[in-house]
Amino acid sequence: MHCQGRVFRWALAAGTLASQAAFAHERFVKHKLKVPLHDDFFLQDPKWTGPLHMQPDMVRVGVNCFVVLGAFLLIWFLRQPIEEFALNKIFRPIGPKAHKWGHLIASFLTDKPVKNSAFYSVGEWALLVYLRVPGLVLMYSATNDSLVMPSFPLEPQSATIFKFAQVLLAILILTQTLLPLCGALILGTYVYLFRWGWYVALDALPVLVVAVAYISSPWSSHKIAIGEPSVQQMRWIRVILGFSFFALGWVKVWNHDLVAGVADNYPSVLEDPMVKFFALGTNPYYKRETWVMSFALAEVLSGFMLTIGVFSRIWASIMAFVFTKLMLIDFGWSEIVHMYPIGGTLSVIFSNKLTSELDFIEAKEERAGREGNNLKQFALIVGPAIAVAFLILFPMIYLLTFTDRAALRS
Amino acid sequence: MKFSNAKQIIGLLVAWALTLLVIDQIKDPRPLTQVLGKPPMIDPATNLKNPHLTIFLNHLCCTGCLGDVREALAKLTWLGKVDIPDEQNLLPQEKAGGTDVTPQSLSAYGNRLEVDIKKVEDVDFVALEKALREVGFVAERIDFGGVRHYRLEAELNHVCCDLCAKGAQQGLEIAQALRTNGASIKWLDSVQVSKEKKKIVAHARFDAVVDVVDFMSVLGHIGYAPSSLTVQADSENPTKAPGQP
Repeated sequence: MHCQGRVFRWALAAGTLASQAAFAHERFVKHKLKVPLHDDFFLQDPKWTGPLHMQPDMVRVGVNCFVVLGAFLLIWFLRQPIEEFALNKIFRPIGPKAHKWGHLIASFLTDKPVKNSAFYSVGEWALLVYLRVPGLVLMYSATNDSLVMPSFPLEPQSATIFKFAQVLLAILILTQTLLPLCGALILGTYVYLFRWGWYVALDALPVLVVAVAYISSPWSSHKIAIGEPSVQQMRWIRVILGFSFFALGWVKVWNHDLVAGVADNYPSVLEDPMVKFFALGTNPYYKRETWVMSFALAEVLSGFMLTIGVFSRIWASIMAFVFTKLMLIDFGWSEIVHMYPIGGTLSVIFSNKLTSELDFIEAKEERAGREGNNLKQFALIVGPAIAVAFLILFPMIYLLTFTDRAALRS
Repeated sequence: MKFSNAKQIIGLLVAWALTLLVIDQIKDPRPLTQVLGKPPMIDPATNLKNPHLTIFLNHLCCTGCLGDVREALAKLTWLGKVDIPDEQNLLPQEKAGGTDVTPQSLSAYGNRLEVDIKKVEDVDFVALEKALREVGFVAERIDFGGVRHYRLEAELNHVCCDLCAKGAQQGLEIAQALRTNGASIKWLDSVQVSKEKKKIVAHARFDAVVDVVDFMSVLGHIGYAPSSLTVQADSENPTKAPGQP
């Protein structure tokens, strides 16, 4: 699903980063189109019968995504009464054990603290993965002539210095030494990536997820056991992780050939149920084009949900599963870079300090309920759900139909 | 416990980013506009810097040997000037026959040739190896360089099924993984095998020097004998969208 997108963006980034863009070839993950796409599908054209001269199937994918996004937001606003109903009317009559487990499951699904010793233990382990696994990826990159991730090739002239620097950083991370320095070095490397173009830096956004925890650790990090990230740290982790997927989803619509190219070479990615769901009701003639669109919007959707903290654990779990599958089954070592987001998503899944950016709307809605203003309460539930879902999707879909993709093929 | 503050982090961050930029600039000098702007695309006109070969022969002891090697290379029209760096020290053939001539070491029998390439598009390393063998020589190493971005295309007479193609692909990937630390095949960026075209396309890393003999031995090791091994320095013609010229 959305996570398969990392393959695409890193494949593109490799092409962008390597200065031989004019001759770009398939480094690591194959991504050459086997058959050209209908480019006009993604562009403005008076012949299209969709609104504002947009291709109707593209709009249809947008509508499907809008319905899902809106529904999730509605359920989020109504999660409290739904949870109470499920616990009191379904689980309680079964028995106290069922009620207890129902409560734990409901807490997990609705991002509330899960009070269970096994959950805490796994959470502690997940934190270690999150903090240390970037060291492994850096080591792997260093031994594969790459910077930060295997698809960012190093220039032969400066490769040795960059490789040693990465190994040093990796050792510091793996031994949990001077973590604030590690955080600053990761941020500095990220700034350096802009030297290779904005797209490369955008592509590497998930790498920053771990820097948040590093810079807020004590200088004597090697002497202590680092505990669960604070509320503020967790918020940053969630927002950076979510925003990077949200932004990169839109980039997929823009750079559709690359996405379709990977699908041409790895047809199994076309079978994702969620992506297929988003393509419901579209013309099979444009199967590959609608797949690109649904794939990209699935990533936008999941990224957005994580950014605003709506069902964070559910979306992070889906992401962690798909990233792991892609790395272990589909693409192998070339996608070891998935370890960065896997660490980030694990830390979100097992955190008991999750927050949401929509709390202020819920506070207003609850106040309206207490005041007995049911109409206002209803409006505060339905209105934001519809408005947010609409504004997040359609303006950008429309704007992208004006963008020129010619430079991507030069 | 001491924690970092924003000043420290920003200071370290900026210092590190600048360090990386400076290293980059010192090791690979480029105009500032390129460093801060979009990386330039490779102009096909400047892609060919100075295409050349360095041929290492473990036996080339006198002018007689050199004469035969020159004769063999002269048959290949895509080759240019042939230089031997210490030609003045090469023994004349008539002197090399004397019983008092004793090389100081085994390596003294060998030598190195620097050969220009006139036409990259006509290069065929299989033909080069064959020409040398025909006059009784074997190259220990043939380093090809001087082209910034290129790929080697090995034409195969035998690729009868998908398994043949997979075997070549996986064999080269394994060879690359196994030999990475030996550095001999580190020039290899990626490989494609086409069953339809009966070709192995090996993409070289940017500005890399390829040991062609080593590559052919790797191909041999995985069970493939190329009928030709050519250099492609042109664009790979990215897929055009419908309606595009």
